[in-house]
Amino acid sequence: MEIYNIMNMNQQHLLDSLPDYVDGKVDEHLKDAIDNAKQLDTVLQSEIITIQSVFNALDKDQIRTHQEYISRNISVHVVQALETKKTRLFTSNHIIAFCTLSVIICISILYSIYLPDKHNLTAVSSYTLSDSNNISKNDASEVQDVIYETHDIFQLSLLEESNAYQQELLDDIIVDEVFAIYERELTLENQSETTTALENEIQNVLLLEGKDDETL
Amino acid sequence: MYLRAFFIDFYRKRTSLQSDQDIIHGLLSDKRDYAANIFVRKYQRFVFSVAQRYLKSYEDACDASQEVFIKAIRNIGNFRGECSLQTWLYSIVINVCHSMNKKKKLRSFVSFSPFDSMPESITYDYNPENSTLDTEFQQIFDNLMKQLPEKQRETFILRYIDELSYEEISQMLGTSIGGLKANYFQAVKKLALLLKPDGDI
Repeated sequence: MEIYNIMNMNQQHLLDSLPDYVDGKVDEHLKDAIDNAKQLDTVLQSEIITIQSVFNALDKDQIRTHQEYISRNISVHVVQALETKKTRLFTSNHIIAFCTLSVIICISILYSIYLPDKHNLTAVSSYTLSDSNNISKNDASEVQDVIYETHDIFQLSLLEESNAYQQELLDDIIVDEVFAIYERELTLENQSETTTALENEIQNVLLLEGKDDETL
Repeated sequence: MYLRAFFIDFYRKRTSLQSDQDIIHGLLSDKRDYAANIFVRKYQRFVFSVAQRYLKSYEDACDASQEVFIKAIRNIGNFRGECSLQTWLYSIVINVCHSMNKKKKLRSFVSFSPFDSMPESITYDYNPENSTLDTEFQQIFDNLMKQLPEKQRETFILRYIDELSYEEISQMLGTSIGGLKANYFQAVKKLALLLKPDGDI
């Protein structure tokens, strides 16, 4: 083993290099190392004999010749395939582009035919699903345009609800306006009589509107 | 027999005169057909043998080889020269073989596939079973290779038969050079055991 240490190589490294050594594919440095080592090591000698017998049995030229023989027609078929693709009028890319374009045109035609109906349905469904408190007069008239002929009852109910809502809005506006006037009057000094009269007036208005004492 | 050997030797010398750079340059220039012919002749044995090892079928290997060369010729502009042309071809062969294996599995799964009834587009005049050329020797070699684990088999063939460098094989198989050397030695040892008179072969 001393020689392996001197050459900075272990036995396993030399063993792994033996097939290349027998095949004549090692550099001079490694060849000398193995030549020196095999004189002292009988294991290496026997391994070299074994590898030589394998390589003699499996003649690489014979294997390569057979492989070349059975693969000899491939070049002809490749050239034929390349020629065929060159002379073909429509390539697969052309066909794919044509099909894609056709599908896009068909979809756009169908969409343009069914688009108005789809729009109506969407409008109706959105009004049907929405909260009636959020419907304004404009919305109601839109719904009226859309479903006038087929949904009379539905339209009327929507309009009634929207009117009731408008009335509530009006009441709130009146109350807010009255309170605004009241606050403005309070800021004026030395006008207590006016303020008292105004308070009475507000009370009367609110009583007429049906508001309870808590609101007052 | 001698005539066949002469022609094979002639082809080998003729194609070996063309360097990879010449082939790539030719494929990208006006001489594309000529360059493609030289390119395929130079590497058809290598590509076919790799495809046959992966697909285990003569017909499939022929189809795969054809597809590999067509892909390579079309995409030669994408070859960046970071590895050898042979290493690049090897990666294409592996990809094509993988996709062919997937298609085969799918076809066998979907038994009513219309592809089963389609005739082969290309017919090959060579049938290995009918040929008397080196059949016995080739069968012995094929049986020996089947006995080896995949890594050892690939390393043995790429190093011993194809005479590639360890650097190239390392790029192809993704194994370290030390590991390849160990695989090569183990493959030869196993072959020695199989070739013994009392061995399996």
